[in-house]
Amino acid sequence: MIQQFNVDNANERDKLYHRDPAIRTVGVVPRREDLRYGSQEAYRTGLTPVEADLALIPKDQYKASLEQAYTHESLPMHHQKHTWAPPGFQYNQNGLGYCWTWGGTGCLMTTRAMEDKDTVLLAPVSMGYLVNWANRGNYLESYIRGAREDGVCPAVNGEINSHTNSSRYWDNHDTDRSKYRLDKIWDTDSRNGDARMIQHCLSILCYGRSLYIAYNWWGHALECVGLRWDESKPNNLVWIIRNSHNESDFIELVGSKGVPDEAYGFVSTKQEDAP
Amino acid sequence: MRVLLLILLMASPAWGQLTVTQQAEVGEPILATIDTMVPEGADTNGPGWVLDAGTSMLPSSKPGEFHIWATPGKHVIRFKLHWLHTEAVTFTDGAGKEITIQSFLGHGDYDESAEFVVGEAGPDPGPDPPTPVPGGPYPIMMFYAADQLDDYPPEQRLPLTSLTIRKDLVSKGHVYLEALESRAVEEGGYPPKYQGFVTSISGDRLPRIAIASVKGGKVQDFPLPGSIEEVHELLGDIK
Repeated sequence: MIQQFNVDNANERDKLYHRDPAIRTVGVVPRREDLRYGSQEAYRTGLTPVEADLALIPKDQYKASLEQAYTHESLPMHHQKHTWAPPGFQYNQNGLGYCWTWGGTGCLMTTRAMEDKDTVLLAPVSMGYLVNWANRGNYLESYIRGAREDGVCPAVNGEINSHTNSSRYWDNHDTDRSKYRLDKIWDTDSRNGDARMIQHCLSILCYGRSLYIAYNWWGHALECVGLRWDESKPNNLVWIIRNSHNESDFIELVGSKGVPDEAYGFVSTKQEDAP
Repeated sequence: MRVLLLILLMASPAWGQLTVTQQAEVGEPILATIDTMVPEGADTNGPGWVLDAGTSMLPSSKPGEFHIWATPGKHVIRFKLHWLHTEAVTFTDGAGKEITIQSFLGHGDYDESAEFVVGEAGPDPGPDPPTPVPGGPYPIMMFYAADQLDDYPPEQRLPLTSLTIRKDLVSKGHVYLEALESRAVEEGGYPPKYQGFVTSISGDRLPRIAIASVKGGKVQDFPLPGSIEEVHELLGDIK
């Protein structure tokens, strides 16, 4: 059963903070100040402003666009459940402060699924080199840079939730890392109000792309796999999330705090030299 | 077409509000003007001019003015551009260290479109109706450009994103290999086994669908049809 949290309620937020008591560190470092939406530094990181590529969906078409996406199963949640995360699958960062890579790698696998690439389980913990294998949080843009330039290792023996954050271990299992790389990313603007951010996120989802997101109030990174229209909720929206605290289904967030503080649309991936 | 668009972009420094002659005779050039406010020195990103099938464009001698020729029917031209203006600023901090930053001066977006008609007004041209290809079912690859997704009509875009449609194609015996984005094509970001499909669409305008017989032989490619019904028609699913 999908759990829903009203994140404008402090008690509900508290339940999320303590969801995995084994995690001792905040997983996300907020986006750098110099990495502004549309800035040259953002371009160098590979972040294309979503408006540079897409005509955004107008507000009066949100409901109809989401209805069409559900009718045709074109949201990330549909592709994810059909491939790497079937019903009952549990995604678990296993006590490490590595939500930044569990979220990003989930998004990468979902993007591969949306491109109809072969399902290959990837190991989020293999990105631990970005933090020198320490148990600590990271910038989302750091994960994006690593996933674009280096790639993510396939899970060993299918252990997608492996928490072996060891350089010696992954040096011996690094051969195929470069085959599974992120390519194009759409950036969103979180500095000019919730309405703008909602439009960016909804447009990316309805154009069939997954969202790598973070909430500063939670210090947590996740994958947004869809939106549901519900006129009883703030902004008429329910945010559908793949979390990494061992849930066996998605979780839902409602409330104004459900609007992400950072969001990146994973548009496409590269796969070279694979059989 | 991308190279031509880039040349047009570099040749005309002034961009902005788009106007176009709304009605012209067959063979008569149509005048389009564009007036923008992109600061000198700004970086630009985006396709610039986007023309539909059967349309060609050349700059005139006047800045911001272009001549268009098009096949009979109704056409849409579009101008889409994002600009970003920054300036390097160097200063010395309290420790005497020289620091250079990129100072953000501004950014802007243009997304203008206009319609015109050549000859007598008629229904929208759209992709040509497909001719069924005998010999299926097929392995299928689709090719698209992410920065043009919003230019594709919604019905044409569905096969690129819809799980329902993919399952339907598979139920009819086809193998849906992949929906490959143009950057991956240009930069070789695909397995060698797909080279035949990629070669088949080389130089063709996206979006495309490429199919091959399961018995081997040459890969055939076509414009991606305007609806899933036409995709099935192309694949010979409709008897």
